[in-house]
Amino acid sequence: MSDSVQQVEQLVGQEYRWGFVSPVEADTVPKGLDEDVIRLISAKKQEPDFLLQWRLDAYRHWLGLAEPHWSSAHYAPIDYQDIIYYSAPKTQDRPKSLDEVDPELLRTYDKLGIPLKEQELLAGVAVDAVFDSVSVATTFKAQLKKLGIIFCSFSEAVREHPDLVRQYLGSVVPPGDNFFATLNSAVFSDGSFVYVPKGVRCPMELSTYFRINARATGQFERTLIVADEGATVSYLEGCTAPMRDEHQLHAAVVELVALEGATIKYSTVQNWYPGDKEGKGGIYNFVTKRGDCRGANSKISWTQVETGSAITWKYPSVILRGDNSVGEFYSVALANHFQQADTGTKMVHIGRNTRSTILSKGISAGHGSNAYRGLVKVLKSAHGARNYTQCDSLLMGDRCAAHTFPVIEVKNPAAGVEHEASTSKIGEDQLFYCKQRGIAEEDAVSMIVNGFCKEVFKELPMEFAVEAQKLLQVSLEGAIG
Amino acid sequence: MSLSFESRPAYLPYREAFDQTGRLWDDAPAWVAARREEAWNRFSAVGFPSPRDEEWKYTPTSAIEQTAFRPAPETLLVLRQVEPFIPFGFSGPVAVFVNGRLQPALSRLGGLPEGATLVGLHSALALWPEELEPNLMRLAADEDNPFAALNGALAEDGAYLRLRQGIELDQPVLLLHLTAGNHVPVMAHLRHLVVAEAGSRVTLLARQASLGDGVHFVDTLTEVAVGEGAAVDYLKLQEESPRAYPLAQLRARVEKDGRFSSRIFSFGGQLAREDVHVELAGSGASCQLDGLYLADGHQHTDTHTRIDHRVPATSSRQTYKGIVAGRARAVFKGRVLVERDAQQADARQANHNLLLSPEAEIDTTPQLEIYADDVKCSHGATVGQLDEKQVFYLRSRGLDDAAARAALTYAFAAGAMEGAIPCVREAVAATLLERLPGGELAREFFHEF
Repeated sequence: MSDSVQQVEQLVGQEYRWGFVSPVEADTVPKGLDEDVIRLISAKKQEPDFLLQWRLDAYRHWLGLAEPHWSSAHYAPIDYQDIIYYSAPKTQDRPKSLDEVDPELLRTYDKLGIPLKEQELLAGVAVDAVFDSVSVATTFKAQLKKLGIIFCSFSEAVREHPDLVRQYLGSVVPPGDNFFATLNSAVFSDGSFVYVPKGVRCPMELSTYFRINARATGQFERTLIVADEGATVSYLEGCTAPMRDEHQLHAAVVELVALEGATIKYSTVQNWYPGDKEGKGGIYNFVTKRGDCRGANSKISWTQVETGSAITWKYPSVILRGDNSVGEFYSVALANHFQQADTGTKMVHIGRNTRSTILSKGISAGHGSNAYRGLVKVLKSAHGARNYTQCDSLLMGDRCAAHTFPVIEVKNPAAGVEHEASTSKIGEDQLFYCKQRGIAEEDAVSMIVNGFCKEVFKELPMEFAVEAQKLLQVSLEGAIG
Repeated sequence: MSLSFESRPAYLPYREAFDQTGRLWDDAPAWVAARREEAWNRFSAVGFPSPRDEEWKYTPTSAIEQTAFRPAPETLLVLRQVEPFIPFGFSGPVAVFVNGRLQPALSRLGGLPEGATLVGLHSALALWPEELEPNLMRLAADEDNPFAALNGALAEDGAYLRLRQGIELDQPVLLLHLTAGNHVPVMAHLRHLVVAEAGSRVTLLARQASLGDGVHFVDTLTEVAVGEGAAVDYLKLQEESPRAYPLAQLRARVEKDGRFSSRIFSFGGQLAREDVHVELAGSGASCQLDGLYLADGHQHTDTHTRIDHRVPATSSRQTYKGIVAGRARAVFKGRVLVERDAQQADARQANHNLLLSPEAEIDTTPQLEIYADDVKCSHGATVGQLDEKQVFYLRSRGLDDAAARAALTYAFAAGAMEGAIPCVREAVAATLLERLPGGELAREFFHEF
C-alpha cells in the first residue's frame, strides 16, 4: 500500500517531463512571412526551382485564404508575422555518423527517452530525428538502402530523389487544400520521406521524433510516404515540445500514398506541451494528415494517441480510391486541464468493396474538451462499401466536455454504414471494485482508462504501446479527486 | 458576401405578406404586434438560409426563395372535401384549417370536458390575452431557424389547446391543415399553441395534406408547454403533394416530471423539413421522439431534432427510421445537448436508414454535445439495404421480387408504427403499401389489410 501511495505522490509531483530547452546554437531566419522569407528558406535548403515555385504558388494562394474557425476550439488569434519560419541547429557539415552529431543534441534525445545509439543497437528502430527544422541524423539507412527503401529527411529527398518528390508531393494534400496545409506548403522546413519499392516489406518500424526547441518557432514539417505496389511499411511518429508560456503553432502535413496491394501503417504518439494547469501556453497542433489508397487492395491504417497540445485539430483521413482498399483509424485522445482536442477522421469511399473501420476513444478530464468529428462518405461508385464506426467518450470531472459529431453521407444502395457512439462517466462501480481490492484510486483510474483504450493500444507497435500507457497515466494525474 | 435579404427579389412579396397578415391581427393585444414586428425584423435581417449555414448544409431552400409565393387566399370547403382526411372512426375534437385559416364550420371544437379548451388563436387572444402572453411566440422565441422567425411574422391563424391542471383527455385532438390552390404558388403559415398544465394529459394528432397538386409552401410552428407531471403525445402525419414545400417546427418545453412524445410520419412534399426541439427544463422530465420518413421520386426530406437536457435527472429517447428510393434524398441531424451540471442525463438516439436506389442519397449526422460528466448518452446510425437472404427466403415462399422487397421494407418501418393510435397506424400502413412498388402484393401477403 505505502508503495502505491508513494507512486501516486510521485506521479502527482510529475509535471511535463519533457519541458527543457536545449542550448543549441540555431540558424534562424527573421520573424515574419513574405516571399523573401520563402526564397530564403528554399535557398538555405538548396532546393530546385520547381519546389520554390511550388512554395510561392502556395503562399500566394494562402494570402487569399481566411483562417478557419468552425471547430469547437477557442484560442487567441495567431499572429503569422510573429513566427520564425525556419530554425536549424548550426552545424558545419551534415554529420556522417552519430559520433559527429552535436553531443548536446544527443543528450536532448536521451532525455526524451530515445537514445539514438541505444536504439540503433538494441531496438532495431530506424529513427529519423527532426530537431526543429532539419533532420539531424538518420540511422539504419544503409540497411534499408540494400532493400531499395528510401528513408531520409525531406530535404535530402528533394536533393537526391527530386523526381519522386515531384511526382508525389501535394498529390494527396494539394497545396491549396486548407489554410494550414497551404501555409505548410509555403514554408515547410523538413520532415521525413519514405519510399518503399515494389513488393518490398520494410523489415523494421521506421520512426521520426519531432521536437520543437527554439523559442517562437513554428514547426512546419511535411512527411511523405509512398508504398509502391505490394509494399508494406509501418511508420511511427512521436512528438514532444519544451515548456513555454506563449503558444506555438504546429502546422504539419502528412501524405501517404499506397499503390496496388500496398499497406501503410502510420502510428503517432503526440505529446506536445499541453500548457499548464491554468491553460497557459501549449502547442496549437493544426495538422493535415491524409492517405490515398490509390491502388486496388491497398490499405492505410492510422493509429494515434493524442495526449499533448493545448489544441489538437486534425483528422487523419483515407481516400479509398482503389477497389477493395481498406482504411482504418484508431484513436485515443485525452484532454485534461484546459486542453481542447477536435479530432476524428474522414473515410471517402470511391472504389468498389472498400472497407473502413473507425475506433475513437476520447477522454475528457478537468476543464478539457474533446470532440470527435468524422465523415464517412460513400460515393455512387463505391458499390459494396462498408464502414463501421465506434466512438466512445469517457468523462472525468464536472467541468469537462465531450462531443461527437459524425457525418454520414451515402450515395450507394449496396453500402453498409454503421455508427455507434456512447458517452459515460468513468464507472463508479469499477472504481469501487478496484478500491475495495486495495488498489489506490489513481491506479484504479489509470487501469480503467487503459482498459477503455485497449482496443486502440493494441494497434500500436509494442514500444509505442508502453509509452502511450505511461503518457496517459502522467497526463491524467490530478484528474480525479 | 451575398446581398442582404432586403435587396433580394424575394424580399418584397414577403414584406407585402407581412403587412397583409398584419390586418388579421388588428384586434389582438399590442404585444402580438410587437412580437410579429420583432420576428419580421429577425427574418429580414437574415433572409433565407444559405447553403453555408451548417443547419441547412444538405437542404437548399433556394427553390422556396425563388418561387413567388402569395399568401393563400381564404378558401371555403365543404365537409365532403374534408372528411377523407379525418381518420375513419375518429370521434374526438377536430380543428380544421384551410389555407392557414380556421374553418369553424368544418371543425368540432366543442364537446371537451370542463377545463379543456380548443379554440382558434384569434378567439383565444380576444378571450384570454393574459393567459397566452407568457407562451405565444415566446416558447420558440430563441429559435435561430429563419423559418421560425418567418412564421412569427406571417402566421395567419392557429389553434390554442389548453388543459387545466389534472385534466386528462381520453380522445385525441385532431389538428387538420389542408392547403388548396392550383394556379399560383401560395403559402400558408400556421402557429399552434398547446398548454398542458400540471398533471394534465392529452394526445394530439396533426395531419397536413394538399387539395389538388398546386405548388405551395406551408410553414407550421407548434409550441407546446408541458407542465409539471403533465404528458403530451404528439402524432403527425404529413402527406402533402409532391410539389409542396412543407416546413414544420415543433418546440416543446417540459417541466418537472413532465413527459413529451412525438412521432412524425413525413411522407409528402418535394422538400419537407421537420425541426423538433425539446427542452427538458425540470428534473425528471423526459421525452421520446420517433419518426419515419419516406422519400422517393425527386423528394427531399429533412429531419432535425434537438434535445436540451438542461437540469439534472432528465432522459430522452429517439428512434428515427428512413426509407429512401428513386432519386430522393433524406437528411437527418439529431443533436443532444447536455448542459453543464445537468447530471444523470440519460439520452439515447438511433437513426436507421434504408437506401433502396443507386440514385438516392442519405446524409445523417447524429451529435452528442456533453458538458456534464455523470451521464449516459449514446447514439447509433446506420445506412443499409434489405438483406438479400431475407428477400430470397420470401421469394422461395412464392412472393415475387417486388412484393418481397415491399414486405421487408414494410417490416422495417413497422416498428415506427407500433404504439401509434390505431387510426394513424392504418393510415400510415396504407400510404406505405401504396407507395412501395409491389406493395399491393405485399398487402395480400400480410392478410390483415
